[in-house]
Amino acid sequence: MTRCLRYYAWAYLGPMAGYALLFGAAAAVFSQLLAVEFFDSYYQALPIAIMVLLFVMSTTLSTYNLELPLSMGARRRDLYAAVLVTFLATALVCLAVTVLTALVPEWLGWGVVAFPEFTGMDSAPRTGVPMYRPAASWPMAGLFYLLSQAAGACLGRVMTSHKVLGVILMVLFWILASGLVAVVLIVSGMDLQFGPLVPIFYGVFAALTLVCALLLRRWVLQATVR
Amino acid sequence: MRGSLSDQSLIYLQIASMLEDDILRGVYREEEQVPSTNELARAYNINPATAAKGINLLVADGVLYKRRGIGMFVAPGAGEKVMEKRRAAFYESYIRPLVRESRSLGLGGQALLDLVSRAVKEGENDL
Amino acid sequence: MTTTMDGVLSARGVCKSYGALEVLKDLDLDILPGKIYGLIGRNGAGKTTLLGVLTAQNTLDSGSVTLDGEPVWENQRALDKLCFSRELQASLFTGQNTLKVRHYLRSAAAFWPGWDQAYADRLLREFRLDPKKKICQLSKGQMSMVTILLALASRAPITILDEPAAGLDVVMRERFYQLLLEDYAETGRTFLVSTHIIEEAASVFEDVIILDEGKILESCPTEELIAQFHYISGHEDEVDRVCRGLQVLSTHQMGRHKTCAVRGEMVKLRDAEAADVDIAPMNLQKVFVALCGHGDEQP
Repeated sequence: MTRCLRYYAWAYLGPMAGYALLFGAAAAVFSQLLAVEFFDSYYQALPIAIMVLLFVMSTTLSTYNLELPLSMGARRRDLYAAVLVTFLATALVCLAVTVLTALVPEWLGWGVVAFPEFTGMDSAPRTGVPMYRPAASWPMAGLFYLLSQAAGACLGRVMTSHKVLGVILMVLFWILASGLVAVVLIVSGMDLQFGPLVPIFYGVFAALTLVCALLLRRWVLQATVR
Repeated sequence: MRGSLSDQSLIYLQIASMLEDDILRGVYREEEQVPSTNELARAYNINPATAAKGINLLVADGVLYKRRGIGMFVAPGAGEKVMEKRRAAFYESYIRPLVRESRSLGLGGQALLDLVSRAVKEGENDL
Repeated sequence: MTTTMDGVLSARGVCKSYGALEVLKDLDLDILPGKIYGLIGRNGAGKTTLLGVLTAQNTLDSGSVTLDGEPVWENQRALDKLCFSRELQASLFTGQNTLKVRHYLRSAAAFWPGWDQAYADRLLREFRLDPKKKICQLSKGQMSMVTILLALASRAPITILDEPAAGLDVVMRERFYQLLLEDYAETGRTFLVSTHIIEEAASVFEDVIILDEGKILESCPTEELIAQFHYISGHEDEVDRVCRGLQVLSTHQMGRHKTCAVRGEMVKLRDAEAADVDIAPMNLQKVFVALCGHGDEQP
């Protein structure tokens, strides 16, 4: 199992962390060069950008990043366990990047940034002063990062056996992602109270993640290299 | 050692035969070491087990013997043993095919014997 | 020759189908340690499928594959001893069109406990392979070189190579046989080489395994197999007389000249020698064609 973890560390997590840092740094740097409003929206899109990155890259976890180790004598159950740990580790790393991108500009005195209210799901009303809501936002963002990977890995598997269905799902995903960006931008300007819906959101997304993880388990334990 | 192997007979037999030829030619003298199975395998790009089979054949015939930890050596009297072996096979491998061939050419027994005498005489003249 | 601690890799009653297509049919096979095996079979005979099943990289419908008596499926101890170096193609793993050679080899180093990096580097230099290149950018010959490199450097006790000579020119093929024999002389590990290029490789294989239509047709020492086959040719009446009592695999006739490929014991051959027919040996390639040609062969 450690071999599988080490493999995923340099084949998946490493590049992913690199990209996430790049996105985060770009968000922080560009925001300083441009107007504050743009900064708000740009920064609010960061988690979504990361989710897209994770979704697309994690498709490899059920394609060549699964078949390659398998062809080199790795056990399927070790690979599955390693994939789960990798999901978690990657989600945490991306979360750290997201959080740092929020905190570092403040520490450097560049100004306080507004974390996406949408992901905040905070029931406290907006005061008019942009501020980030770490406690409420981050678990949700972390969950989204997990879900993106689990769903992406599932999509990768679907694409290998049912190309047409996979393409349809991929297209749907892109539409959803664009829609989500728009929704975030709109909602962050409004004073929405999600209140009692928050636990339901958590429940739904956690359940989706679980479903994807279980599907993945079934596919991985029966995986073959032709 | 001759260059390469043909596919006219089994490889291990060719290996054995080549070693015998070299012993008769004096390439390997009595009590001298012959190439190891690995050396033979390398030289002809063959499986060491095949080379070993050829060598074992000669060991079984008493042409080679093994010195443990060192290798295979030409046994004393190997030259004569090879000659004996070949003389015994001479009838099967040369004489009988010769008779068959002459029969198929329509040469009777006496005609064949005349040809053989002539060849023997020519051979003596060459010497 | 050093001996390695591997045991016997056995397949018993292995059946595998892809949908309605039966690829492996009740197949039995034993791979004993310390030998170089050649696996030959026609296209579509199921060689790659068999190799995948033997190494637990492909599933089987029924039967069992064991190493040292333990099933290989999901068995790390067994998997550590097995190396299956696949025939590389641009489309080898799903979605890996941009996989780099370096990535491939680095993964191998991560997974095989016996991986010899120094050996791998030496071979990279000798083959003049650029590790930064993507697999899909390699020529067929270069892909074969990667297959060979992976197999040799893995130092796995049981190493399987699928089409290692495909795409190589004759000089490189000779070099491959040399490398294989050198490694074998040094380590005595078990090799199983699946190849189309039969005759060149025949002298390298101690044992040959013939896979035909999903079953093992022959699995025995190469020279023993070849010794059983001969061509008998001459006048058709003589040939027919001689061939009575021998298993005739194929015949070819031109007018009254008839040639038969036969299989039989040396004893029966004795009688043939007395008759007015030509007897010639068959090499492995011709034996293979005679056994697996199924009606479209020529002597």
